[in-house]
Amino acid sequence: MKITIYGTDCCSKCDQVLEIVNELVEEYKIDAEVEKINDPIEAAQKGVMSLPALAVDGDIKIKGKAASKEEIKEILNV
Amino acid sequence: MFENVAQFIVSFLPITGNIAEIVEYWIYNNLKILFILFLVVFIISYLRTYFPPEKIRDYLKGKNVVFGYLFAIGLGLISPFCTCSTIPLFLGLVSAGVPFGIIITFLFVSPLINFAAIAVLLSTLGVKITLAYALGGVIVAILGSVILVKLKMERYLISFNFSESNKKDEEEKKLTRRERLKETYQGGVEIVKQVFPYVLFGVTVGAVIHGLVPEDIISNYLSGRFSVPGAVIIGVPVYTDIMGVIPIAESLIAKGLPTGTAVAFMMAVATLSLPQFILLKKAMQKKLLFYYGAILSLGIIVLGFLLNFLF
Repeated sequence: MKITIYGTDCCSKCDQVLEIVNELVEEYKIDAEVEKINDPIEAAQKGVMSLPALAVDGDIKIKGKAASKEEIKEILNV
Repeated sequence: MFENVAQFIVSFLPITGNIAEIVEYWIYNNLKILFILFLVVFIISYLRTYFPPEKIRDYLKGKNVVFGYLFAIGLGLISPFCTCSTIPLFLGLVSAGVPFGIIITFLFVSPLINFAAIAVLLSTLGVKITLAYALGGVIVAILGSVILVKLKMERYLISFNFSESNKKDEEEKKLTRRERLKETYQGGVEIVKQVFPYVLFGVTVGAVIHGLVPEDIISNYLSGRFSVPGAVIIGVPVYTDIMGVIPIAESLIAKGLPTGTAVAFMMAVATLSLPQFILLKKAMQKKLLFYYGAILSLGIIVLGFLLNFLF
């Protein structure tokens, strides 16, 4: 699967989400490609109006909040 | 109340004289500003659970202009502290076809003034300066957006396609009070965490100025005719939160820095920052960005001169 995190360079919450995702991918050996996009235009094109946002295979799952590890775990089905 | 706490703590420390006074001032200001920050941020975060971006966008779409402007000002006041969240909302408004003037008003107000800063200013610098800051910010924003609209600057917004694909799951989900409080708590803690280091830094610089910088240095060198544009120029490379500048401005004013100069410095630090402009450049062409920056700088300078003249 492909996990995309939308954020900006100056957004610590966004990095937090990226960190949690990376942790989970490693911990549960998830077969996933993780990318972070620091372009709000690209996020806007996906319909995201508040950052950070997280998408799995192109579907936006969370937007506008630094989700907790538990929440992200649920989204990734682990 | 905070004064007593600060005195109480200092009385247990093995320090006296000037150092004791600086430490007391430092503790007092940290306690006071952080208390207000907590309070206001949590109130705002709670309010914001009622205004998710999608709702704001739909709400602004077909509104009449006057109401739209007022709403944009209100929105700017409760907008979050980081451009990271302003820009995506801005882009969403653009793509939804909200009138340019309303969007640009929001973009002016959002960094210039916010509720938390107003609350802290009230408690540190008094009603007069707070009013000058808030009204001045609103006037600069409205004039700025009127000028940009008259110049037909909306041509220079970058156009792009906003996805419709997520429209269907955006139907308003009714939040329970419990969910609202949870969101408030999460959002509030995040903002406080983000702003806290700036407050600490600002209060520390402020305390050092308060205790160690002689008055005549400031009144001799920082109160001339060029102090306002000077303050704005210095404010550009300084990148901190407005909450971090207020305590510095407070001690500078106490040492004789003219009010207008201090307000101009605060506003310049909060609005004219490189990271913000780099992000904005993704959403607008150079010409519009230049005008936006120029109007902000000029507006802040004029406001500074005016306040120095008035107070």
